[in-house]
Amino acid sequence: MDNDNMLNMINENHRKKMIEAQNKSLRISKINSSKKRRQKVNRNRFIASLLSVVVVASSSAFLAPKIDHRIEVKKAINNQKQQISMMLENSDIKFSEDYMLGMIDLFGEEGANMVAQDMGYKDWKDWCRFKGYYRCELSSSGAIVNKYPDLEVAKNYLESEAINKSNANGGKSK
Amino acid sequence: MINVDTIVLEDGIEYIITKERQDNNNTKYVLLTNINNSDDFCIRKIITENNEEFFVNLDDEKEFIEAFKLFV
Repeated sequence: MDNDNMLNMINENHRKKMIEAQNKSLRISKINSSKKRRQKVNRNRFIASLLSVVVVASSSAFLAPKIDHRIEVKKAINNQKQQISMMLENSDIKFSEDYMLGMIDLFGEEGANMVAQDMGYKDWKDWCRFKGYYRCELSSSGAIVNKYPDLEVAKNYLESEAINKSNANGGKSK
Repeated sequence: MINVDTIVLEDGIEYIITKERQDNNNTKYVLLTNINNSDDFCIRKIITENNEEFFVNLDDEKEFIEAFKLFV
């Protein structure tokens, strides 16, 4: 599949999600807000949920037709950065490893590239090399015969690091 | 981990109350995101009746688009 077809497919997929969101919003209901409850959620996943909405909207051509998915995604995320920092009452949140996990979840390699480039790396592979997130191929004797940057390895490491940080803070956000 | 408010809608799904916004007519809207799927979301309007607050559906597509713009 070429790049244009892939982008069209992503846009089409997001357009469907917007229609689903619209249908859901119009579905008749009346819920007492006293039924709200307080819950703990993973911080990166919460960031992903904030970003996801704008990304779906931006790339679905719902609000603006004929737009480039990649440019709009980047623009939308940049617009959200300050709001997210304010919402999380954490002014030092920036594009860094803090964001990487959520962005990998949300956009895969594309998301990882955005964060990596924001931190000054060429791309996510460059970032993985610098951090040492490699997947290794071993010989029968256990020697490394090949190694290459791997997002899954990075994700696993970041997830366990986030859990450790959270435990060290007594379950509070950083 | 962070603390968030959630609510279960009529479809039985639990949603994070992600953002709250007010339009020029002082109508309040909330953006709700499925706690298990960040691509699944919807918007509800907040109304007050007899000092009780309710999340209710939007009226039509036009209201949805206008409300959505408050969040992006």
